[in-house]
Amino acid sequence: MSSNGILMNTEDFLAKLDPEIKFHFFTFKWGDKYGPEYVNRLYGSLVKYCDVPFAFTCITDNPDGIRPEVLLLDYNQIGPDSWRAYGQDKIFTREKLCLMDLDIPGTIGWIDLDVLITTEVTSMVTRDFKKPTFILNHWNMDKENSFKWFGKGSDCHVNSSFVMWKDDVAQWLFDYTDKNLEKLMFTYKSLDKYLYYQHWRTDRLAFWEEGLVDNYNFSEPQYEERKEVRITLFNTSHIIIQNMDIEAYELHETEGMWPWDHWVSYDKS
Amino acid sequence: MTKVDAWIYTQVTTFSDAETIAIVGPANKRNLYNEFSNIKSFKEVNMYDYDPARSDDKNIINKDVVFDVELHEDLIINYACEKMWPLGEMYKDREFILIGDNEKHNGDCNPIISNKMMVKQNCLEEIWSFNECTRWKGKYFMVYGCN
Repeated sequence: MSSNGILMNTEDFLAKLDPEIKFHFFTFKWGDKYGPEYVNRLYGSLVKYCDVPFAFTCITDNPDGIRPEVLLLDYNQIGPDSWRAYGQDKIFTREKLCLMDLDIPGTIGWIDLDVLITTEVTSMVTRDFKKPTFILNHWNMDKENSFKWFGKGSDCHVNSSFVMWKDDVAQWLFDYTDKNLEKLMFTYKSLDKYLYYQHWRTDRLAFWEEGLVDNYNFSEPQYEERKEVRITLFNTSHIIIQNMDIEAYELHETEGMWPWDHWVSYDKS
Repeated sequence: MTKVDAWIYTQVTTFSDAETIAIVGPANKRNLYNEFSNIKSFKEVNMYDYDPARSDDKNIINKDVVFDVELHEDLIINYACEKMWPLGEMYKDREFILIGDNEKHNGDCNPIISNKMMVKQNCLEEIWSFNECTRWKGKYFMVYGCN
């Protein structure tokens, strides 16, 4: 199946899905923070390191430059109208949860664009998921005072950059969010905080084991390539928003460092 | 006792008709809980705090009062209005003592900038008393009333 550069609406997209494909990965690209090379290289990394037949879909407002093997879903009509009515300062990236309501059989997941896959992930994505599985920020959790500010609302040890589930085991999360939408939008600025404060606290989520996922800018020591790690995160937006004094890199800023060679090599996958 | 706790204590012991009290978001503070628990006219005094770090305290109900449980108490004392959906939107015909600050910390979804704001958000129809006092970088606002 090829996108031919055409953005599909959700109904057409679901109707055209190949029923033989049991693994469906999604990514989101809207606005101009990341270029199409982020989408193409993420897809290339899955081609190289995910050894099961899969479909890869980009939910976007601009399909320009995205390779034709990547399916395209229209960002501007994803999810219910009631969710789209809120600004981006309310549960930022809440759109991801709408994937849990698509009723696609098999294994489904989303992967953020600023994620670098550096070795096989087949064994991660072919699990029999009983709960939606997220990243826990192990690199922060052992630090002094890492849970001290929970009551203040400023902790956050959940990350939603690489998330997988199977069949309908995540439907409850969409339903819960939809049912409590007004209060949740009022309370939480980001998806990760919402998940941490409402669902990590109540043990409703599963998490990848420590060591599988790393954070290039936050792990100590920083910027190291660790052998056992399969997925490395690069996001810097919260560093900028919180005005943190940390030297941090996005993937496209790593030329001359170890991530760069991996990243650009996926153009050829 | 802090200025805020002293004000709350005075309002409750002087004016309240409540028989049951919910103290929301007490963090480390136990003054009011201990005082009210020793007053016979209060049949039940409960503290609610959803911080997992408080789960070892047997006197704390370790739940989120917006999303996890339904409060049944006559009087709701909310120490942290700046951090949550207004409880007066959810609970009617109750007494409320509402405390909030305007310091806009990371994690505050609802910075309180006036007593009027808390009255409006919580749909209070009768105001029995109000106050404010300085905090580290800002102010505490305090309202006592019912909806």
